[in-house]
Parts: sequence; structure tokens; C-alpha cells
Amino acid sequence: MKSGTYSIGYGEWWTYHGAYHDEWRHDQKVKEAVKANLADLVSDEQITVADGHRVINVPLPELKEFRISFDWHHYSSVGQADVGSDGEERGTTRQAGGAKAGGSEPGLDVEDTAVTLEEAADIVFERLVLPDLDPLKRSRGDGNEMQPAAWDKVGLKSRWVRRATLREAMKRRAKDGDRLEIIPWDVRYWRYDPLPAEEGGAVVVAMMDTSGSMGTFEKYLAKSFFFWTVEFLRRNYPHVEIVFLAHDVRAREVDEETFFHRGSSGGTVSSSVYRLALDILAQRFPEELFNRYAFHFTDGGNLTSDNALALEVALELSSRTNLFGYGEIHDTDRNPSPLFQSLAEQGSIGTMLLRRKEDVFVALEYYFGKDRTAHAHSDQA
Amino acid sequence: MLTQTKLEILIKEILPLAQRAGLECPHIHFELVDAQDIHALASYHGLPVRYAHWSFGKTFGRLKTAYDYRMSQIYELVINARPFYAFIDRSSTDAQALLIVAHVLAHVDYFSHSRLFSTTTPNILHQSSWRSRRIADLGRIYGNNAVESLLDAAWVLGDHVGRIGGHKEPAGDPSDILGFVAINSRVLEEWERQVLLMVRDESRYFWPQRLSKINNEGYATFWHTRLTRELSPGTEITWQIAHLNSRLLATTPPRLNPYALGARIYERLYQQHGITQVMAARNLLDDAGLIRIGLDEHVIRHCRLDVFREQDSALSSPYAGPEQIKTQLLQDVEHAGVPYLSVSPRSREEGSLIIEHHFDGRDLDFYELPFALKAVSQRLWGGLVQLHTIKKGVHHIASHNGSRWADEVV
Repeated sequence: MKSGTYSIGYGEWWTYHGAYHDEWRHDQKVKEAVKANLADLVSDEQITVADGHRVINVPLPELKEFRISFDWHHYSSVGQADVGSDGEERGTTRQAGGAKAGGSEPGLDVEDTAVTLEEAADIVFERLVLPDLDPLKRSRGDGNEMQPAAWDKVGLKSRWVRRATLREAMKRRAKDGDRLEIIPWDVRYWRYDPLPAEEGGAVVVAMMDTSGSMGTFEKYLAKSFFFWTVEFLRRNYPHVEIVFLAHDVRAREVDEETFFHRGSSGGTVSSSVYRLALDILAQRFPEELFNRYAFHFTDGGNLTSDNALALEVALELSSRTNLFGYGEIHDTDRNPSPLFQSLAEQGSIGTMLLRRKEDVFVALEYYFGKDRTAHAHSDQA
Repeated sequence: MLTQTKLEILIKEILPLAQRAGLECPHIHFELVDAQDIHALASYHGLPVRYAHWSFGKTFGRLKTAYDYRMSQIYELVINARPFYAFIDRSSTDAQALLIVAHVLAHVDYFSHSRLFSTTTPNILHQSSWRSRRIADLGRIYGNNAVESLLDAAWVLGDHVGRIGGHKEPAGDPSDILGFVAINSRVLEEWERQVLLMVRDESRYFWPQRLSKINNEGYATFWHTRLTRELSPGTEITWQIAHLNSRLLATTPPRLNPYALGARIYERLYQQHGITQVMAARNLLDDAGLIRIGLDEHVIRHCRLDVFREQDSALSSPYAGPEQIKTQLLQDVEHAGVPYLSVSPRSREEGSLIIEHHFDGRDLDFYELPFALKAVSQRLWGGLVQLHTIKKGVHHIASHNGSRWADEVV
């Protein structure tokens, strides 16, 4: 063979498009796997922190390429110790490092995939919708569609309004008596305003029990549910109005910040918050313009004397909303409260018991799931 | 930043040294590519055109991330084809390129002489691009999901393709499980058999490389050290070369660095027996052979080899002696760290796929096994797949019939 010859290229002929496609395919499979692990994911403490950069580690054994292989975790193999380690030090290295990967151990069998809050939310929200949304009730518009609304003195040349411009010129001539001539400050332009979107206008009333009986667990669950609900609404329905109501024996409207960071004290009178919700809906969100939803989360410790009244007002609230959801949180096997039982009997109210952290997701699915199995919607239809 | 002209100057500097040292230098095509390209190439095990599969994408993503965090860098890739192809990261400095070219020349010499590659096809690039087109066509005809699941399942058996240099046709060799399934499965369509045989051929191309990682890298490192030492460049260049060299030889405990171990063994062989032994080791040995003749106490101490134990071992045993380390290392590299499996002759009579594990003291991973057997049973064999093995000293029959996994003690 002729020896010592060579040629040199500069990689012009060559780019690896396939690698990006295969990388995308793998990412897609990762997402599918994340989806399958969803209940665990939502219950993760970290994920309910409203920090867009928070990263969650999700174990994804599905992505392992399964082979018939040795059980490397239970066997020793030869590796190289740390440079400069001798004697006893060598022993520590062995314990600390040897655990993870021996010399020829194949890659980890659990893929530690970093999923951002954003991505996790995408996966969760993909399956959620506002139930029974009436699209004829329009919101104020999302700014995507525009229509000419009025004349303006500044604007794009292409939006010049001849008629208005001429009118201005004529007005000026009538006043000053000059000959008809268009000067720059006669020119008028169309101003475009956003058209109401084809989405239904909607309002969600979030009601949370902040009485003294709400323990850490109950509050955590209630807040998680509302956190996810708010995130989901903001993402999928940017123009949905959200009203935050907190209550103990009295109810009051609070801002979002207070709602999520409020301490708890006092007793529980649920009727108060239902009454306030009804008032707010009647005053600010008329039925013919808005799809209305209400959710109440509590530990079920309603004052016995208030139960009858609460039921009555709850029924009224239910009849005036597309959906009224009532969630009761128990960390023990305690029976549902009398109020829960009487609400559940009504059938028109979406009642739900939450006992574990995972139930937050179950609740989201129950109320907003595209294929709700047990969704009790209002008698409005 | 390397240019073609610059690289040519550097090759002219180092190539005569290599030839004088006795390295064979057939035609090599060098290709200067950027970092991203070299990661893509490495993810496809060096083949510039290869069929699509998500596992390549997974590797690609990892390599990119590792590079972004400066955890690893790939400087060169050599493809064992005729002509030889060498891909070099064009962001390398001149000094680094000198070392890299020397390294490449030694790899080429290794591929040209090692008996392990005597039967390897010289046309891998054509074959691979043909397979890539064929598999893409099949994806269009039968659906990408059908092709993907077929490849997923084929790769479960991808390490069990028979002795290389033995039967070329998939027939007689009982350790050629993939070939056996491709021929004897009753459920596979013709195109599916074709794909399995493609995976088999490809795996047979790569198998000798997997058996000679330490040897090949050690040999190339041995030579790039010697060749760059013969150059008499300025201080700056010398320093850069030394710097890259030390990065290549660095270890991340407890991982084994094949460059470091292999180079040390070759260095030792050279010191004790001269250049003829070095060339003989190149011609004849795989990793196991090299370790058997070359690993002595000096190498063990120099490379700080040790036996690293499992996670939950409560016993802190005394340090492993040289004998134990050698035995253990031989077992690690034997058969490329893959369990030795073969098809039982009874498979033909009974209609089920019966695989025997030739037990060597190490148990199989019973966490992965159900998934692996399930894929083979569902996608390839379409019936009962049995694996005879030994677990904790007891004969087990692990099996999957497509819907149910069973693990019976005999």
C-alpha cells in the first residue's frame, strides 16, 4: 500500500441534522415518562414554589435501554484511586467513590432528568380545561385581533384616513379662510383597538378557609390546589379574572399575595364566604357576561350552627355558577363533615375529599380534567 | 483555530517521525469539524451517516451538556474504514493538533495490524449510509414507531452476535442470539428480519473495538508520547502538549482511564522487552490479553488500581492484593463486560427461545431482566423466551411470554 498520503477537509460537506432530531425524540420520550409519573411530581414539595427557575429531579427508569447485563451494583470492579491518596485515605476514597461507579460499570440506570417548573406545568395543564365554558360570553379580548376604533393624530402612514384628513383641512379653511391645502397636522390616522377574543369571559372565585383549625398539612394542600389552579388559568386563559377570598368566621376579599401567605386563626363559618362570593359575583361579574366558577377548600370544621345556612347559600352559589367545587382536607381517616355530606347529596356540587398530597392532582383532574369521570356540574345546563 | 493549511504543516512535521518509528501510515482523510459535529459523531459511535434512533440523541444531549460544563472534550475520532477517516476538533491549538495527529496515526496503525480487525469490513461508511437510507424508507412504509420498537428490542440482543471471525452467516454459532432470532422467529416480517441482520452486522463491526479499548487507546497514547517527545518545539508548544497529555491521562476516581492504564502497560512492555513486544501486543492481543501479560505490581501501583466495592457492603476489607486486582480486572474486561449467553439447541425443538447464561460467578441484573425479555418476547420472538441463569447460587429460569414475567427456581 502506498504509504504516508493524506487529504484534509474542512467539514463543509457535513452536518449532522439527524442528531438534533434524535435528541428531540429522546426529549419527547422523557416527557412521556414524566407524564406517567405525574402524581408523584405534583406532590413534590419543591414544585409548588412559585419560582420559575426551580428545577425538580425526576427519576425516569423508562429511559434506560434494557439489556441482559450483570448486576454491577452488587459486584466489585477495578478502578483508579485518587492521586495522592495512600494508606487510610485510600480507604475513604474507596467507600465514598466506590459506591457509585466501578471501573467498567455501565451508565446509571436511573436517568436524573431535570424538569423545570415550566415544563412540568406544560404537562399538567395540557389536560386541563375550564368545564362547561360558554364561548358566547366574551372576555375583553386578548389583543390578538384588532379593529379600527377611532382617529388619531399620530399613526402609521398606511392607516391614513382620507375623509377625516380632508375634513380637518376644510375646518381649518373655514376658520382661517385660506385656500384648501392639507398640512401635516390635518392628517388623521386610524387607531386600532383589540377585538374581544372568541374565548369566553370567565371568573374564578377561590375561597380558602384560614381558620385556626387549618393545620400545616391542610393549608399546604389548599394552597397547592389554588397555586396550580391560578397557574393553569393564567397559562391557558390569560383573561380569566380570579377573586381571592379568605375566611374564618368572617370573609374578606384579599389580594393574591395575602391569600397565599396568610396565617390562620379563628373559627369557621362557611356561609360567610359563600355570601361574599355571591355578592361579588352579582356586583362585578354578571351572569350573562361571565362564566363563573367557585372553589372552596376547608378542613371541614364548620360551626355546627352554621351548617344549615351554609348549605342553603352553597346551593344558591352552585345555581349561579358553572361549577361550584367543595374540597375537604383530612390528614386522618376522620369522616367527612356533616356539611360535606349534605353538599355531596345535592349532586350539583363537585365535592371532593383530599387525604394525601397526591390528591391535589386528583382534584385538578376532577374539576378541570378534559375527560372528567366524576364531574358533577351545575344544574344550569 | 486549525485551518487546512495549518494542519498540513503539522502533519508534515509528525508523519515522517511516525514512519521512521515503524508505524504504517495508509491514506488518511482528515476532516476538521466543530465541537458540535464531533459530539454528534461520537454519539453515533463515529459513523457519519447512521440510522435514526433516540438513544443516539440521548448520548448527543449528554455529550453536549458535559462539554458545556467543561466536564469533557472530544479531540479526535478515527473511523476504521478504507480510507481511514480522522475527525479533529478545529478549535484545537497547533500544539494540541500535533499530539492529536500523532495519536490518530497510532490508531490507524493499530487498526491496520491488530488481528481483531482482520475480518472487519473496510466499507463501513457505505454500508452504514445504505442501512440508514433503508431504515428511513422502512419507517416511511411501516411507520416510525414500528421501526423504533424493533430497534429497541433488537438492541437488547445487540451484544450477542456470535464470535467475530467465526461464522459470517448467522447460522451455526450458538452465541449468535440475534442472528438466530432473525432467522428462526415465526412472527417477524421479511423487512424486520432484514433490520435485525443490519443491527447484527453493525454490532459485529463494533465488537472488536469494544474488546480492545484499553489496548487501542494505550497504544495510541504510548506513541503520541514518544513522537511528540522527538519533536523539538519551543517552550510554549511543549507546555501545551504536556498540558493536553495530562488531561488525557487524568483520572476521575474510581473510574478507570483506558488511556492511562493502557499507556502505562505499553510503556512497561517497552522498557522490559523492547519494541518487538510492543508490536506483538498490538498485533495479537485484546484487552484481556494485554492485561494478562502486562499488568504487574508496578503498573498497579503507578495507576493506583484498586478493587472498588458495592455500595452496601458493610465490611471494610483489607486492600486488594495485586493478584486479586488482576483477576478482577480480567473479569471486568472479558467479553467486553457483557454476560456470555448462547441459544440452547432445545430452542429449535420446543419453539420457545431458550437462552443459557454461562455463569462465571456474577449474577445478572434482575431489575432489568423482565424489561429486556419482554421486549424480545413481544417484538421479536412472539412467544416464550426463557433465560437459564444462576442467582445467589441457585438455578433460576427467568421467562417472559409476552404478557407475563416469571422467575422460577429449579
